[in-house]
Amino acid sequence: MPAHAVVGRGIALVPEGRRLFSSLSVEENLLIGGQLGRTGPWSLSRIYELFPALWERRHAPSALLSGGEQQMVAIGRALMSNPKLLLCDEISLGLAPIVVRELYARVPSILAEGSSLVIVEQDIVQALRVANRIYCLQEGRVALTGSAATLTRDAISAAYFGA
Amino acid sequence: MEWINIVVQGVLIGGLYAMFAAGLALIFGVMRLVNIAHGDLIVLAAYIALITSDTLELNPLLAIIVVVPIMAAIGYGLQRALLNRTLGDDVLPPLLVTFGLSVIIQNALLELFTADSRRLRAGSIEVASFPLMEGVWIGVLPLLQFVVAVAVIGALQLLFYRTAFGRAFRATSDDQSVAQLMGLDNRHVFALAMALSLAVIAVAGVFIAVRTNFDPAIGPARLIFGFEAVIIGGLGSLWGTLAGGIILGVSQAIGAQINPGWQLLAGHLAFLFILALRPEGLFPKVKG
Amino acid sequence: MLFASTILGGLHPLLAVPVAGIVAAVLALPVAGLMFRLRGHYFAIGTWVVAEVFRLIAAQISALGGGSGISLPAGIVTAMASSRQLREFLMYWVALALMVAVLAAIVLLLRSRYGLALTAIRDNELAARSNGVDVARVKLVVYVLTAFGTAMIGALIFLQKLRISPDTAFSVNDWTAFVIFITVIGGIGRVEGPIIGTIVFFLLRQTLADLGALYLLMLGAVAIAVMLLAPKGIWGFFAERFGWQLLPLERRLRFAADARTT
Repeated sequence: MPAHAVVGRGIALVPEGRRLFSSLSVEENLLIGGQLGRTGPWSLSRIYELFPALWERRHAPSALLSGGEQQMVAIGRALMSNPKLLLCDEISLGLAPIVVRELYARVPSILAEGSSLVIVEQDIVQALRVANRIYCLQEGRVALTGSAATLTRDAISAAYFGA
Repeated sequence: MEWINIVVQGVLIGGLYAMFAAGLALIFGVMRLVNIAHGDLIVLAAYIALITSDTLELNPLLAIIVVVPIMAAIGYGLQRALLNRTLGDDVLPPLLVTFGLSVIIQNALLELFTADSRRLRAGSIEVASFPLMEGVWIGVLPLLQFVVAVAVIGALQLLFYRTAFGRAFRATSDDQSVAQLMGLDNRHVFALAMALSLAVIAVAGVFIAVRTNFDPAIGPARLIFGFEAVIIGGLGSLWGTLAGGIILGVSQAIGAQINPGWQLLAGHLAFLFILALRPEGLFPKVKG
Repeated sequence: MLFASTILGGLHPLLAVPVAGIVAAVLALPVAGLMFRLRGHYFAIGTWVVAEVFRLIAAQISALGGGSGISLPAGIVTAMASSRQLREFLMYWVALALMVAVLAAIVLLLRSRYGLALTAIRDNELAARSNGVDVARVKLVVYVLTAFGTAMIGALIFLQKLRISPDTAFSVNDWTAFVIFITVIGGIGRVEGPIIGTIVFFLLRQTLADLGALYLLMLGAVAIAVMLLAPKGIWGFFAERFGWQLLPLERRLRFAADARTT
């Protein structure tokens, strides 16, 4: 299946490092995400509800946004395709902890609309907060798995670094 | 008075150069492809205009209606069948393939139409003119050509920055792989851009055919004019290409006035001069 | 240049060949300064404009016949060699010597420290620069050196033809197109490529030249086909498949299998 057909099947990606379209404005980035016209709960106005900060900056060139705002656009852009499955790669990458917390605080609202999320994340605290299931990968193998409720930080760090 | 006249004529011909340049800048902007066959495609459009106006007994200017869709279709097909396969990290394959294409088009036209100079007859509009002021006469045809050029560039600008179409172009230009993840088929987007570029070429080709004699070998020189206008204008905006085309047209007109042999030389020197002073062009792209 | 220096300067024609090279190298300096401001594709067309400028200037110099060109005066021709046969004999050997010299120079250059720097620039210009390679200088040196070599060859070609005019001398089709086709068909980035390309090119020309425009059309099609199907050219295609290397230039990476850590 060619890459451009994937999103039509309901799988959207928030790429590592955000990778916004730098010559497009915030709103244009979101519109590109929704250009296939898949119907569902997400629309421009719903994205602005989810991330009110973007509403004020909707006509700004996306390259001028802060890292956190850019990550919001990247997530919003992926949501605009109304995916059944949203893949998020390293949401916390290069962002301040407070910004990361803010972003993860939005995850429940996304889940509430019926999308499933797969998040690859190094920030274990945030991942544990929002996840149902956790998989720890060690050199390509699953080293530890379990529901977020049963796994502790100690168990996870033991899986990675040894006890 | 004489100098004003020269500058005015230069500006008017500059519109034509701007149309060459706009098509070139468009595909470079979207897919980083420099189409060496650009000039030869202009000549091809001129010949298609010749055939259609001969067989359908149309006024050449109306032949635009027929030539534009034909060229756009050629552009789409060319991009899908050939040029998409050359795009990648390496800049050489597209350059060499379009160069091969240029040689093929030139020699095919030579084979079909011989090396004789041809000309499209548009009737009385060719010589019609009106005085702008004392000693400065403006030809209706050059003026029409300039107005069309401005309209074409304005329309491209709108399409690029105000429509979903243009958004897709810009997104694909920014980041091809992410654009694909958003469901944009880059091969299709590129082919559309090429179709658009050749549609602009078609308009320019018809005007060339009406205004000057043409033969299969004049393509590369048109490519150079377009290229110079793009660089002078800077890669930032399509309006920049209009400014570049006008500067080129005016310098050529001034050069020709000094010495007929200097017409082209003056244009090239103006280009090199601007390149030396402002390598980014007059209206550079603002980096975000 | 050759014609200018022999006719105007009264130099011996063969001596004028290296002089043409030096003059071209000197001219290449400011040209390079200007052209290196252009990137990638635009560099290619920019140099084309420069060629046009030279052509138009040459057409303006009336001492060299202006637009219609000029022939070498008989006196100079006979000064070179007494008979036609002897002259062609001489030309052949000089051309061969020059070709060997140019190839040797390229091989030596690529195997020197400059060669390593060049490879590094080709692979990643930014990384090469940050590792202390003076990218601008290396590029300039290569550009000027090729100008030197190309000018000598050009001088020789027109010494053989005895006649020159701006349009034939600066014809994109005749020179650049053929050279590009030769390189593309033979293989880019390899010294052996152009040699193979030249052989293929002349074979094609011998068999198809009667077709006129159709011949060029086919040449274009062949070049496109090679570019798409075997982007490294005929030589590259075989070299990759069979590991041939006539003039070893590549610094191959050798991994000892057991030394790899897991």
